[in-house]
Amino acid sequence: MSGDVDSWASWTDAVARRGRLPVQEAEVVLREVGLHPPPAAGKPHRLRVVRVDFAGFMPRGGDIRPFSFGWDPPGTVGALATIERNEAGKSSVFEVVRWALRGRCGVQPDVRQWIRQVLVELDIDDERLCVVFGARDGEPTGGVLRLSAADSGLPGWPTPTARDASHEERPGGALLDQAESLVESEAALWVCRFTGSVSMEAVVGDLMLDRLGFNRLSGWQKMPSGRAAQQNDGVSTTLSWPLWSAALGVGSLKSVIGQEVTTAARLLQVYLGAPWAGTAVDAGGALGAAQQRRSAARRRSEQDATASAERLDALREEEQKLLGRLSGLERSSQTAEEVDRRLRAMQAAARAFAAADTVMAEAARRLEDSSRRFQSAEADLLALSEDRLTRRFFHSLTPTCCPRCDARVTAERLQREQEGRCSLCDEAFSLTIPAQDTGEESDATGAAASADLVDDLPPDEEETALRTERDNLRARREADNGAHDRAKEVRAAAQVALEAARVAFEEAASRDSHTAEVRTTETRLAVVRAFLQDKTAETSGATRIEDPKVRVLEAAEKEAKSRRDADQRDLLVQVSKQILELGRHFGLEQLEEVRLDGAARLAVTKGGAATSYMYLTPGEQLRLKIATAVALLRVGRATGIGRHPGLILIDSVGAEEMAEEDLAQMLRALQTLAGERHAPQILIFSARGRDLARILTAESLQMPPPGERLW
Amino acid sequence: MRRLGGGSTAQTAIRILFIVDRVGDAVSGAEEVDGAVRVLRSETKLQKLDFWVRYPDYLAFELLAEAEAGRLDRDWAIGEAALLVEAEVPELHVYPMVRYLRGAYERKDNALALLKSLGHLAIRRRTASVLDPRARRDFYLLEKGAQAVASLRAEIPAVRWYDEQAVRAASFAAHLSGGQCKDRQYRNEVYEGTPLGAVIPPIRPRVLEQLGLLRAAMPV
Repeated sequence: MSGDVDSWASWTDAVARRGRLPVQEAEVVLREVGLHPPPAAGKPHRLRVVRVDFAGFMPRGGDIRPFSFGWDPPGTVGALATIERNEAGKSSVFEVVRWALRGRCGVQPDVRQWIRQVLVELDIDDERLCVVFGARDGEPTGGVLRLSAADSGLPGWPTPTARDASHEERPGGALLDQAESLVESEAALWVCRFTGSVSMEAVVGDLMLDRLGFNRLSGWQKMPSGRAAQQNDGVSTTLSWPLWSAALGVGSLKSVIGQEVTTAARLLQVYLGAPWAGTAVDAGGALGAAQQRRSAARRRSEQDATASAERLDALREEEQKLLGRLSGLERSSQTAEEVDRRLRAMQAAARAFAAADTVMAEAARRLEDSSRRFQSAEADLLALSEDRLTRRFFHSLTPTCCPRCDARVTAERLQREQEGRCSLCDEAFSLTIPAQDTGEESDATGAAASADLVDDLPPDEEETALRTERDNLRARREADNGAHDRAKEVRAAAQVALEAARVAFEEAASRDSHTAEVRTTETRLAVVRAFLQDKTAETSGATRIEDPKVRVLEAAEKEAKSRRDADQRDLLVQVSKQILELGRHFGLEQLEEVRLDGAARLAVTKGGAATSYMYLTPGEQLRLKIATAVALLRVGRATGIGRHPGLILIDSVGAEEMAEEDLAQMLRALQTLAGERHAPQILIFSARGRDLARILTAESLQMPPPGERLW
Repeated sequence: MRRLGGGSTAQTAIRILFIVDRVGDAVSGAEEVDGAVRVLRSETKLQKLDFWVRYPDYLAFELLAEAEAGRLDRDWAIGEAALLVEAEVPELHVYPMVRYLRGAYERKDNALALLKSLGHLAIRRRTASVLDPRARRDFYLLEKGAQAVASLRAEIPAVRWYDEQAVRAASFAAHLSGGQCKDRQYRNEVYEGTPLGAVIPPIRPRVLEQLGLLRAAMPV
């Protein structure tokens, strides 16, 4: 990852070498398409949650009562816990935080109906932002404010937050009014606003991508996540903010990074900050577009009789189906022999027809190609003659002023042309005008050159060459036309022959209904097989329309991927070491070796046996997942290129099954981490309040009284 | 290929003359340019019109769109469009253009210098600040230029095609601004989807289809 490797020169050289192309050609294409080495990514950004506050109205005991919740998590390790009570609302708090950060609501449907206002204060680097909105059944209206004066880590919003007086009022109205008054008093500024969930997702997504520095990375697109991403290495290549921000959460334990196995590899690339990953994505996109154009061009010049791969598959599928059907039917033995003979004859005719069909398609394609080229040559000849005519027209006129400075050309200057000096630029100048433009050599006396004799001129070399080429192309087109006509005739004849053979075959078959079905099935099978045989032979011989750009882009994609993988390899070794160390600190003493690969799979050796993340217990998985997140964070920050903003939310699913001592050890280790530079903010949501209380201080832990809900 | 790049300087120059003459506005008394008879405002407009002159299929597309919207006489538009895409002749006058950041674009400096030096065209920048690189350039056809246009029409039948193209383009583009012309061209997906630096591909088959549909919809 030295600076030299990232220079333009090194990049184009490497691509040219890989594609076995001249360097200039590679460079032209790369610059044209905009495939540059990754730009410096800028420093990583820090995201901290400073306050979570929400309120609403919920049905309780036949009545509708207001509820509210507030929490000011610490900047290092903080926990929201309940004691021996599940469904105490902690998952909802987790989801509300994610709602504000992601722009997408994952709160349970019943809770979603009750919540009417949300305020989440965040620090992004030194900027204090507040996501503020009112919500009606999950549809938010509000925006993001910037608070002008707020101490880092301490909430700046006036406490308590304003709340609706009754459930009949506009949801979040009081809070939004409070926001407006802050804006009026210049204590806050609207950074962006949204109405509705679609708008919120787009607006918050854009804001986060911008503030957290993703916009400057290549390979990032602000796409609504509903849109399908292009396939590349079998992994989604475009990531939207909601998808990426899932990496901040440790909820599901299915994958060691993020929530889903399918996105884990891409998230890993971003965690590690492999800069060439973005370039590889861009190269893949450009290559895909170029390949599409090439195949569109190819398709345009083929007739539909030429089978594509899907057609081949469809034919093969049909063949199987027909065979199946046949085997289920009986055949009358008396006519079997005759039927067989005529069937074979029909198959031969079918093959001949398929062959003739292919030949005609090819002839048609060639004809279209030569027609186009001929026409282009005609057009070029015409352009040449127009060029001469117009050039001569202008030569016959006299200049009146300098095109650069507007100075008028005086009569004296014009006179100087007789002496051999240009009236505009004073260079040596002869009134002898090239023969092609006038028709003859002229020692003209300043007036217009004599009349044209273009048509009588012996043609110059360029014109001769063009004419010859044009005539050759015309001859070729004629030849191709003839070949196409003949191919059409042959095909027509083959079709007639096939029809005759088919009729003969059908005559030989008996009237039995079974046999009738056998007959039709066999007929169709014969035709399908003939086409198959012919098409498989033909596709391998298809002419390639070469696009040199595609070769460069293919090489570029390979080169970018190889650089990305090389970057990752080094980093992954470091990360694996860290995971091992952290895992042991978290209480997994039996860990001997850990290896994280580019596809985000974690191979683990513990107690002498080789296994993997997938096969560990939930308690072990949870600890390793947290260890992995922290390890990636650390390595990303140490190299200065990771993109993780240093916030980890743990909805502790597996912690429920962890032994108390193990949990305690992990917490103590996390607290030690908190003391380091670049420490992440780790927020834990758990039902094991008692155990947490033994390790965490009162400031770090928020708990309701035993057996009660959080809100 | 000769025709990529718009042909020679002289060829580009005559197209510019025809475009300013046919599409430009008559000069009003408020203009400060001596001897000017017509004006074409903005280089963008010049670039976009040159594109339409050089791509008969895209021009036909616009004519048909105008006919469908009822802004052009249907019979006339269909007749012209048919000529542009059904006959062989238009294909011989295609001069491909490359797509850049703001669509089809080609430097016309040499041709403009030629026309300026001969006293056919005057160019004025409309701007408050001399240093503004995005100032609009207006192209004035001068007396001499108008005479040159007349001579071209009389003496060189070979270039009549470009004059006629300018007339067709003027039928809908005369009152449009450069930006509006550009937007129209972008509405075409093939044009818009052309990668930067690539030649803008033809769309003849599509326009033939459109022509067929419009003909079928004609009240008999």
